[in-house]
Parts: sequence; structure tokens; C-alpha cells
Amino acid sequence: MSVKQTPERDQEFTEFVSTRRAQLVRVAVLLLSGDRAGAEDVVQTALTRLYLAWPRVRLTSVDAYARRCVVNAAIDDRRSVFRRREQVHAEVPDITAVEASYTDHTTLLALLATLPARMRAAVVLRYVEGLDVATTAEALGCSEGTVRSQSTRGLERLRADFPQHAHRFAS
Amino acid sequence: MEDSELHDVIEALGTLRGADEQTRVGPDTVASDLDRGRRALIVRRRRRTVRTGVAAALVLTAVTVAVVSRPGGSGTGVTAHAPASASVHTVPTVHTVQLVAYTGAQPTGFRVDTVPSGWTVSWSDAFSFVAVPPGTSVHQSADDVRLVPGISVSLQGDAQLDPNAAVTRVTVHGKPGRLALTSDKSAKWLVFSGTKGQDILVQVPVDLGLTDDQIVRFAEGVTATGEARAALG
Repeated sequence: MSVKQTPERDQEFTEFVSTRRAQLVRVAVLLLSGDRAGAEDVVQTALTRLYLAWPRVRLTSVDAYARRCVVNAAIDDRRSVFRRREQVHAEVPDITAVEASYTDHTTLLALLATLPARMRAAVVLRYVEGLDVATTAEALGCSEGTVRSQSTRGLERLRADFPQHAHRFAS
Repeated sequence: MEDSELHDVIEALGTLRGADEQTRVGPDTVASDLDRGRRALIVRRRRRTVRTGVAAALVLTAVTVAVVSRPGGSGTGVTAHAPASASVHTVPTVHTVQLVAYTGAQPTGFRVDTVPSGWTVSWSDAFSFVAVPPGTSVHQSADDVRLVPGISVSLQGDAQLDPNAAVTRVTVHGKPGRLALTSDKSAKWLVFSGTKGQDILVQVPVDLGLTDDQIVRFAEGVTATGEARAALG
């Protein structure tokens, strides 16, 4: 009798989390306008979904799926994230929230926070993460045209407020 | 939009790319993510079990209705067939269960001392193990664990007996246990305190035909080890 474990899924998932988690948290923090605790929730939710879907996505694009899980958790299902937090998190969150340093990035996050969620996501994925339009569209689950429209409008709105803060970013 | 202003905005956004370099992923964090995923997997398997039970009940109901409503049919001599598209496990019903010492490899999170004669453990991990009757053909893999058609054992976690179910009080390991049908009537759940204080849940599909006494006697041979983990969610 063979008592099977889950070695492949666990090993591959562990490797992925070890190397990609920080990046996912960073994206989530940006999508939630600096809310690091909320970002931790989002990433935990996303990684749980990723683990469940691992057999299906491991042969295609784990990165893309994980990114989409983070975006969905941050944008489309925020209420459920908080509900899940109440139900699942019997323990203190694993990562101690790093105290936000009030630097120029704080101002940038504040500016990003003025954008609607999906527009903010388009801007973050395109211009912070450096993803191309097609990859951003895949992460957002929308057309490339929508990505172009959202990211352009997002930049325009940021530009409108940017000059008064520009001195903060001068080299 | 002025090109220079656009460039300034994009350049500033780019500085956020390395803004969280201080975030490091330690092994404990990774282990916690893995643990959450595995717990969620167990929860999904439980839900799948209930859905499977409901589907089987619906198929049975459909067959029964077909037989009863057959014009002039009394049911006698009528062979009922499930719809060709239905996927139904064929499991030998257990009428006489003789518990024998279990000699196979012990499950990961549990110890099982006795199983019905001929039964084997088809799956185990820290969250559960599944024992199946002889002749049961069910594919088990890390990616697709089937709790049906066998007896599954797990820690109770946040699983609760159906509040509307009639509860039978039993004694397991000298301590009180509770036995009741699940809400869909497809299985019985026996919840009892293990020797190390963990609350253990034994799930037995009704189709297996085990009596309450047989379920209790099986449970008497089950203990949870320190490796057993509870599924939450």
C-alpha cells in the first residue's frame, strides 16, 4: 500500500512562494494604496487559490495566474477578502507589517489612491511592474484596448495632481 | 498631455518598483502559505464529498421515480439503470464487518489500529486519511483525493454536525462522542475526542452500510498523531 503525499505540488509551490511572494506583496500594496496588512490578506488569499489550482496552472503560467489572483482579490472581491480574514486567520498574520517610511513613495501611493481601483491596477501593472499591454490585460481579465484606455486616463489624472508634488521627486 | 510631464509621472511610478526591498520571505511565511493551501484543499474535498452525495441521492431519486411512475409498473422485475451520463461509484455494500488489525503503512497524521477486513488506506496526509473497501477502484492522487467511497478521518477543525440532525451519543476511547447524519443524508459523521485531546471526525458514507456500532468500533482504533493538522475555512 502506498500512502501518497503531495511532494510535487508542495515542493513546486514552496519554491514559487519563496521566490515570488515579495513581488506579489509589493503589487498588492500598490493596488491597495499602501495598505500593507490588507495586501498581506490579498496575497494569502491569492496564494491559497493558486495552491488549489496548481495542477491546472503549473504547466502554463504560474506567474500570470498568481498575478491575476492578486489583482482579483484586491479589486473585485475586497469584501470577501475581509470576510475570509475573519474566518481563516486564527493566528497573527505571518509577516509583521513593516512600518511605512514616509518618503516620496508615500506621496506617490496617495496619488495612486485617488484613482479608481481598476484604473489604478492598470497603471501599477503597466508602469510600476513594467508589464506589456497584453500581459496586463490578462492579469486584469480585460481587453488590451481597455488596458490602454485605463492606463492612459490614469496617467492623465496623476499628471493633473503631479506638478504640485514634483519637487519631491526631483533628483 | 505634455510629453515631459508624462515622462515625469512614468519615471516616478517606476521608482516604486524597488520600494519594498525590505520585505523578505522567511521559511515560516512560506510554510504558512503552504499550510493554508493544504487546509483549503481539504475543505474543498469535504465540500466535493457532500456534492457527490447530493448527486448520488438525486440519481437514486430519479431512478426511483422512473420505476414508480412506469405505466403499470409495480417495480417487480424492473431493472433500474442510472442515466448513462451519470458517474456513480459502485461500492460493495458492507453487511458484515469484521475488524482486523491494520498492518499497512500508517497514515501521516493518524494511527489506525483496526480496519474492516480487506480494507486498505488509499490516501493519507496530515489532514486526513481514507480507508476503502476491497474491490474499490478509485483514483487517488495528491491533486484529486476522493473521500468517497471510503471512510475518511480528519481532525474536526471547524466542521460542525448538522444542527438539525438527530445526534446519537456514543462512547469512543471512554469519552463521549456524537454521531449524526450529514445535512444531505449521504454520510454519517462521528466526532469524538482523541487520546491527545484533538477532536476527530470520521465520515462514513451511508452507502457503505456500516452500523453505528461498527463506526464506533472503527473509531476506537483511530488516534491522531502530533502531525495531524486541522482544515479550516
